[in-house]
Amino acid sequence: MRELPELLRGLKGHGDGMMSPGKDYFEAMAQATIREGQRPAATRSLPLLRWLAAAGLVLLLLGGWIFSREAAGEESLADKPLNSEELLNQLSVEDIDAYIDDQLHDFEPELYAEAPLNQ
Amino acid sequence: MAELPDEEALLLQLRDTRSRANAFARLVNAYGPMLHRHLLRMLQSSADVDDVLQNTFVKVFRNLDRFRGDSKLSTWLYRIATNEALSWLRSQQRRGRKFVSEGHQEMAQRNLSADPYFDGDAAQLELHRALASLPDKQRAVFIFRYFDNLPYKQISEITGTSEGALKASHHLAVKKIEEKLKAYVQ
Repeated sequence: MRELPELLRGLKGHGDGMMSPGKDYFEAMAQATIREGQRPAATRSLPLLRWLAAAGLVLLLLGGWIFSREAAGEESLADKPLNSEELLNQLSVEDIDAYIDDQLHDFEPELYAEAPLNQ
Repeated sequence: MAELPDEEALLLQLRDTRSRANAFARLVNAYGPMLHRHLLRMLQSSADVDDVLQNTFVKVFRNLDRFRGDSKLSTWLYRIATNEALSWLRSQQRRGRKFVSEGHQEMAQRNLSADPYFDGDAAQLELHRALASLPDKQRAVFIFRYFDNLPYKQISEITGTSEGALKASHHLAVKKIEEKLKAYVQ
């Protein structure tokens, strides 16, 4: 509470005006969830075209990056060729995510959020 | 809120296929209201909460065997619900970006004013309007701290963010909300 200014401390005492549904709502949700949860989970797979589009975009990004390095007069890649794994390692996950995110409007966000839970 | 069941006993029942359905209904009944409130503060629309809460519980149900008890059950549930809410908001924003010019605050006001689960006064509505102006993750941090009184350690476990970063994020959120509310009061 000490970290809050007086205005927010005062409001906190009044609650936030939100109400919870009754017991029936949660009982119905539990039953619906169990039914849904017992169904085999749908396989989350991107259509081939989207995989190809995503792979193409990543390659384009890599190409642009290599070109910009060469243009900047840095050490020629021909002197010390990097394999694709090394190149990919130099890109941050955020950069790749942001790029795909900007380009594919219907890209399913759950694919990102599917990291194993509690692990 | 329903009284929280004994966590260890509940987990044992959840892991046993014979008692799983009953135990899961108890879990939803006990933790559902807490998650519903959290999601309503995050999404500010009970219609959206219905979908996201359902998705949350389906994930919980399907991943019960993965929960090893390293954290409190409520922490794990909050984590799944928060991830679902953030994913939902991202997808809504991507779709909405094309069609809607209405601001976040106006949308929150419109949604909550007509929402059957919001019965707040003008000041409370203004607080939610201010909340809507925060970035999604910052809003989650503020909600955990301000409404749920969670310690930073638990918020850190839920969000996977360091306590230092959470404190900074919360500080910024408080400042922004205070500014918005001051403007409203004056």
